[in-house]
Amino acid sequence: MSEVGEEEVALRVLHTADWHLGRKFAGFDEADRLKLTRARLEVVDVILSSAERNRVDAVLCAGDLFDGPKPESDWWKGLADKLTLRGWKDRPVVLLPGNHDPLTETSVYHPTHPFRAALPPWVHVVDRDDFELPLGDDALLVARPCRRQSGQDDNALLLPAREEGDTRIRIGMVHGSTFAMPGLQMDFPIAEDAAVQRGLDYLALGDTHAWEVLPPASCPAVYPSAPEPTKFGEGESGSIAVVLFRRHGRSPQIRQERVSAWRWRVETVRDLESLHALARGAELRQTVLRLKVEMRAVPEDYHEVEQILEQLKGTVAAHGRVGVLQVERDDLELDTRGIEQVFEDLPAVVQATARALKEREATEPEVARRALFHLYRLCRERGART
Amino acid sequence: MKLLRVEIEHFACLRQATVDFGPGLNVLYGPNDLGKSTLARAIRAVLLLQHSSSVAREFVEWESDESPSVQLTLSLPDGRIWRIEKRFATPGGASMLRESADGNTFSPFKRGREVDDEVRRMLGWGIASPATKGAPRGLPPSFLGTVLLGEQADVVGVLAQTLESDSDESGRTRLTSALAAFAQDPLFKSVLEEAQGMMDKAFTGTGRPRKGKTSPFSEVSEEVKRIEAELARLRFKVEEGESARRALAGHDRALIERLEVLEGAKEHHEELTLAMDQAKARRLVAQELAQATERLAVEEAALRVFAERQIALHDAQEGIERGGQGITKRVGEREGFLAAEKAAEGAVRRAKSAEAEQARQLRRGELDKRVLELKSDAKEVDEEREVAEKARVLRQTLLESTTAAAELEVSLEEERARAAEAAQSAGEAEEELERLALAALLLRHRGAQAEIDALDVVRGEVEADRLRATERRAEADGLAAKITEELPTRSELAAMRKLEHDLEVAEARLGGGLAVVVERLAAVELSATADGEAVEGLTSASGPVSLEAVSLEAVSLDAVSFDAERGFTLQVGELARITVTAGEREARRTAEDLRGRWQAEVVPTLERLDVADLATLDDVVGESAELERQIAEERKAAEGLDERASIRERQLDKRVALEEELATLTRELEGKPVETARAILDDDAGDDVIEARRVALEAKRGASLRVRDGAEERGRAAQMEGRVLAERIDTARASLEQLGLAEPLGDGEAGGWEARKAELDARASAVAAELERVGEELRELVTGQNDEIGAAEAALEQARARLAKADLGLGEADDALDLLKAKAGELRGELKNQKEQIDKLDVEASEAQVNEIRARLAELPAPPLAPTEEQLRAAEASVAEATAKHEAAKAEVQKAQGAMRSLGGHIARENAKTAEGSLRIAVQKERDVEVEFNAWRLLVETLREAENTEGQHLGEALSQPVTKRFSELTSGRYGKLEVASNLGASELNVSGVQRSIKKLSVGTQEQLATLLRLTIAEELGTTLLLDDHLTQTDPERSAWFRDVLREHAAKAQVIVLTCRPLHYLQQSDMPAEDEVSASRAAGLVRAIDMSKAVVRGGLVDPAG
Repeated sequence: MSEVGEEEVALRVLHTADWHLGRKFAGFDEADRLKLTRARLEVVDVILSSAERNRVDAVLCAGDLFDGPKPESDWWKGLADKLTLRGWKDRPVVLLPGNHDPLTETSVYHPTHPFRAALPPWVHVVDRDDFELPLGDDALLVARPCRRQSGQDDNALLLPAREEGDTRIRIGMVHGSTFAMPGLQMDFPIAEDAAVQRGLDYLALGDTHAWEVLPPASCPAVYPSAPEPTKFGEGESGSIAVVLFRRHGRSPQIRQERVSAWRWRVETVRDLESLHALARGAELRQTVLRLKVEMRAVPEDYHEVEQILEQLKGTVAAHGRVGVLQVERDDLELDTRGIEQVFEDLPAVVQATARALKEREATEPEVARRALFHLYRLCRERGART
Repeated sequence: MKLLRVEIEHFACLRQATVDFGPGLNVLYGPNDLGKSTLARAIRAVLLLQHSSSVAREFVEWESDESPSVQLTLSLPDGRIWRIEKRFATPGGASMLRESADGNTFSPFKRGREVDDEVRRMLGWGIASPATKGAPRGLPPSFLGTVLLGEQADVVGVLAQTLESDSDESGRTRLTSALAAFAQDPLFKSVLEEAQGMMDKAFTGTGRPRKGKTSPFSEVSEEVKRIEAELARLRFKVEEGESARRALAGHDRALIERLEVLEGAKEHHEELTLAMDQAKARRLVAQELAQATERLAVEEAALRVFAERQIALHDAQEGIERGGQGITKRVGEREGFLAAEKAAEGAVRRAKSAEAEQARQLRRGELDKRVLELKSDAKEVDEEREVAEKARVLRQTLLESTTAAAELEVSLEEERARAAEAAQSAGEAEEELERLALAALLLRHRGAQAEIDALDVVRGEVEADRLRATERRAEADGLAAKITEELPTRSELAAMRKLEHDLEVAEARLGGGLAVVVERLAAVELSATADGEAVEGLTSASGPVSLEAVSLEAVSLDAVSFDAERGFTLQVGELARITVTAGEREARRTAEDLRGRWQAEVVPTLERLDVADLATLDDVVGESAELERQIAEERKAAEGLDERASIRERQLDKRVALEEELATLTRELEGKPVETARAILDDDAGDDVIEARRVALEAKRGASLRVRDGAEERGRAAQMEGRVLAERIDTARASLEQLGLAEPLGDGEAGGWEARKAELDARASAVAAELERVGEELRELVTGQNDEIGAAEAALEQARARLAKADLGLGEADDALDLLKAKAGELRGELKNQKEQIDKLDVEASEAQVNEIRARLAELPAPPLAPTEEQLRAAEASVAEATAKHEAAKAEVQKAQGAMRSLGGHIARENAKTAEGSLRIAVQKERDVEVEFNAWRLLVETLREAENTEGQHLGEALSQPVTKRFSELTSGRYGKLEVASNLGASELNVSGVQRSIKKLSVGTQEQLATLLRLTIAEELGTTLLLDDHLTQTDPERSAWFRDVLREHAAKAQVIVLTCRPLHYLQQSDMPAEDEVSASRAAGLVRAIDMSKAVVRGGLVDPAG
């Protein structure tokens, strides 16, 4: 974003969406689940601090702030507390119900819900279809909430059109998907030229978790992405949009600002060297890593693989090198060819055990190989020459 | 395993017994014949014997018809309590296994035969399930069964028992598992310990996966279940959303369809209305046009009729003119035809005149005469030609026959030469065959001689075999002389050994230990025997004495003491002989009986055979058996030699026949040229070569004879043919002479015969041609007359027909001309009338009007449809119906949109997808855990299997602790006990030398056996039953055992059945007079007064 003089600036807003507070992360260990779940509320602090640092005039939160319409109280209380603590007066925060947390009679956004009472007055909830909020004298926010979790309405096209002679900056905010693909049924579809059709200068969107700016530049539609990723393979997520509107009706300037604490990665290693390189490589404490191990290793290497994985994962006594690690080891296989030689200097009964396990490989390959590895490791740990 | 309680009814001598056992040392005491051993048998039976076994018949209480029954309550290391109930009878027996968690409330677990299956599995004593093929019947033998429940009568049996008698591997496995802790290689042990530890985290002692929170399977399994449930919920939600979405889409489509229907209905209605208006306008103009067009058509038709009549009049006038011209032409033609008719009538008359007939008859006569002349010439020429042909044939035959006769003569000569050559070849073959026959004879002669020589060799061998057979029989007789006569048989020897053993046991039971102190109060000669051995030194006046036979503690001149186990005899000079025998009366009586039997049954044999003991007798019997074996071998060898000689002797029988044959052959060969035959044989020709050559020569001779015969046959045929040819030549010559022709003509005359034949042919042809020409002329003469008259008549007929046709045509032409003239007159009258009307018509004006109306009609639009009023009304009704349906569809869409409000849609799909991913990970994790712990289990099992297979340290494992204790007991007198891998205890190291355990005293053997049992029971942590097993043990060792048993009690339960409680207990351990039992040492020692715990039946159980 190029430098713009203060006198040129008509309006600054921070645009965020898809916090998914209260999201659970099944498939992870309990400890990892907690880390990832808590991170969702922690990033709100980062967002609010960014708003202060960037001196924005308003914070627009474009839906799916909660993972469900009726979050547990820890989540809505936590959010209300964080907002209240900021003590802003001239910086409205606008919360939009999305399809995950739609505005219904029992949802967290309903006027009768205690969450609403806990919110400071400068926090607004889009709880009407004709919601309008002037942002100073020269700008107007129009928004429309999702009222159900699934629907085919284009809320952007249902926003009021710019009236003739209205020269104010018009910002629209809705939740839905512009991602159109033949045969793919999406909820709350949004026409790609909705901003043009409704005479908006900026269309603040939420739903897609990856960063995306849709043309035209004069009136862009923007997905700021989820501030904390929610799963592997989401694309470019973990950011917010800081938007600057200039006077004289020029195109808004948009800056992507990274706020996430965690990075989600998927890595596949097919040899010991790659695994070593990963283990020795960049800092991974704030990484959620899905590690696919696809290799066939002789006992010694297999043992080393196990040790590295333990080092990455951590133990009861020590943190691992990776923040959150998921290992897929379906394709990690012990190479048992010639394994008899490994045990040949050991007592006869151990050799007989190894031979018997090798024979069992024909009927129970996986279990027998694992048992062979245990035998190898136990002998090795006891100083036997294997 | 620990026994908690046994309840017995009607079991052998026990009417009823109930005993509660303590967890440690249980000493059940009471006098003999109380039923202690019966109680032990009951325990053995309830654990090991099937209720239907025939063995159980021994358990039936005497003087009672009640079935024996036993209930045994026991606990296992896993805390479970079981009660085995059996009633022994066939039929009517029953078994039941009950399970209890608290020892009070029992519930049935197994019944019938399944009880024994389950109990044997629980015990793990190496006894196969009764359902297993080949499983032992009755009380099954088993190493652990013998060790843990050994019978009183077989105290030392355990030393001879091995694992080999087990019917399955469970006993070995259990022992290996228990003993491995102190036997394995350190590495192996350590690996096994850790692997076992890991396995135990996941599996129970019985191998079942652990359940509950501590189980590693639980967490992952619950996670999988939780995610599966969540996924099912989400999928349901997705499906619900999809259904709603599909429903909405369906309603949307229906709405669109109904809107389209409505619009279609409206459009159709409008189209119909418009079409109806357009059609009405067009109908009016079309009517106007039709009227104008009709008028125009009438006018045009009138004009057309007038013109047509004008043309018809013109045509009629032209026809009249052409008709006049035609009639003129036809009149001319008729005249021509009339003249032709007249000419034809003249010609017919001329042909039928008399002059013409006369000329024709004259010419016919001339021609007939000429025909006769020509036929005569032709016959003459034919006769000449026939003679000439016959002569030609004869000459040809003569020539061919002469040539053939010459050729035949040459062939005859060739055949004669061939026959001569073949006859010579056959003769040569015949000579060679004679030589071969001689060679064969010579060969047979040689063969017979060789066979006689071979039989001479056989005769020598037969004599040698007979000689060797005689020698070996003599050897056998010599050995037989060495055998001692009247040796006891094997079974008699076994009976003696048993008697010896029984005697040893009986005498050992007498052993109570006697300490004898002899004080000499006066000078009297003393002598003594202790346990049958002389006690030396008693008569010695001074100096140390050596008393090796007994354990002499002190020796002095006046006071001597010695020990005896079973008894002693003290001879006091001539004054008295004191004989003291230890042991209870019954035991003494038994020993005495056995001694008597020994003296009566064994000693005479030993004395007769002059051997000291049964071992020596055993050796003698063994040597005798060896001698008998050798004798049998020698005799068998001699028989073999005789048999071989007999067989060979039978071969010699044919020697006489061979000699006769040889003499015959010699005679046959006398005077024969044998040299040529020898030459053949010198070429190493044998029978087969000679035979082959003979066959070849026979064949050659046969072929030559056949060639000769063929040539001779052909010669004879040629001679016959020559004769025929000569006859043919003669006949031909005679015929020629008859014909008047000379002897055969030369080649030059052949041309003359040909020229003559040609001449004759030419003459015949000329005659035939002339005859043909004359015949033709005759035929023409007849047919020419007929043709001339016919032609004239045909021409007349034709001329008359043409004339008639011309007359007819002329009449028709006249009629047509008259018709034309009449029609022309009519037309002229009509034309005159029409001319006035036509002059009044305005056709142009009518055409203009029609065109104007047509232009108007063309300007009007043509309706695409031609609707009816009815159709229009139907269209109005359709519009109304479609409107109603459209409104209904709109209502459905609104309703479906309302239903979508609470459904997840994309969120649900997204969540389901996430849950699927989570489930995949959780399932993988569950699988990883299963693989991990199954791997640990497999490792443990494989380690143990390998160890079992190796098995080499099992005996070692057992020998170590037993040796240690035995060494303590015997103050290090004995070294290491050797225990085989099958746990057979065989040898003991004594002063560095390996000695058989059987060499130990009975008392020492029973102590060693008890230690072995204690050790095994301790390692297994299971109950040990000792049924008066230390009867031969001295008080000092008994005291040592008492301490050991108390130690053992802290580790495992032991039940001692004894009539000497103080060998195992302190006085303070005994129950009070009014108590059945007493528990001491914190319950680890329990004394049970059997006399108060049992009710005996009528008679004494010989087993107890």
